[in-house]
Amino acid sequence: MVKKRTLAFATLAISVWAALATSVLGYYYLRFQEYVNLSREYEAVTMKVDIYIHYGNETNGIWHNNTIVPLGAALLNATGLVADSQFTYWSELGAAFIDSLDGVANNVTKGKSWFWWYWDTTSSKWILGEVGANQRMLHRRDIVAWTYQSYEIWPPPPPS
Amino acid sequence: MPQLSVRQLALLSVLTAVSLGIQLTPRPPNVEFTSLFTFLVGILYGSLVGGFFGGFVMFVNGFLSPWGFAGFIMPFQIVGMAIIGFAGGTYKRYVVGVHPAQVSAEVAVLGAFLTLLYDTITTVGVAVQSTIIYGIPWHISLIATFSAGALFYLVHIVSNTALFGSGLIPLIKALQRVPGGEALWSKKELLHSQH
Repeated sequence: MVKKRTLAFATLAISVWAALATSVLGYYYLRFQEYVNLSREYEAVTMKVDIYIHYGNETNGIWHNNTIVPLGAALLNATGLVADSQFTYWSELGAAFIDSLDGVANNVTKGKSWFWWYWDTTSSKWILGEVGANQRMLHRRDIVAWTYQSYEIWPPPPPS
Repeated sequence: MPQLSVRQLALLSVLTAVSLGIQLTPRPPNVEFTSLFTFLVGILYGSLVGGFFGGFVMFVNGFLSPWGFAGFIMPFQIVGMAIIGFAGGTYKRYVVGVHPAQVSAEVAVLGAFLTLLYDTITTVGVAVQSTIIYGIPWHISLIATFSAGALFYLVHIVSNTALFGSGLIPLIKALQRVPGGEALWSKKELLHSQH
């Protein structure tokens, strides 16, 4: 049988926890509202895009949905926001090509490289990018993908 | 007010000075020892002295705090801390014959509750102040202040729970030897003279 005294102190402890939890909840709600307002404020100069990265291994890739990027950003800039990216700029082509993403680098020996794709909403298909990542300007709600795969089979299969 | 012996009065003065010293020293926000000392004084000297002690420390703190003049919030701080001292004296009545481990657990919970009460009272003060100065409806101001201060309350409550739970019993044991300790000290002097 639990003593009345123990029950009283347990009730007191639970009340403190409840009040504190409510306060913390309120705090995070306020912060959330701040971010919502901030995102509304910047809506005119930003856009949201979905970026998928598949590292060429057995596991599924990673989706970076609703990534907020500056309006008029190129795929290269947007990629830099979601992954640690290294690239080389080819001045004769005016194009930048990715050398590595998150430490996974192009590999001539294995015949593997990074490719980018965009989702064509009209045909509902992935289309292979044909220009440098810096030349692909993004638009609101664009869906793009990076895949690390072999270039020995051409064209490479689209992201699954 | 109860009649205090010179020794009790001296100890009370020392505790006041220690509390004020710590209270006025720059430290992490909301980590404080005044609540602990106020509760302790309530236990050692009774509710009235405990309440007066807490109120007095917060009154001086209101003027000399490293965070600046407390202003409108000061009366709320005084009331909040006085309640802690009063609670110490009240709790003393129910502690006779209770195992020290249970007392530690209970004072930890009381420390958390009283800290929450203190923070709530001072939050009401901030809300009333915002209403007067900025004309914000007081209930909105209260909810906003209560939510915005959540992390401060968290630090305050967690630190005081730990302090009350771990520090109060050793402090009581140490300080109970000081008042009325003539017999103990005379015995020591006697032992000393015999050697």
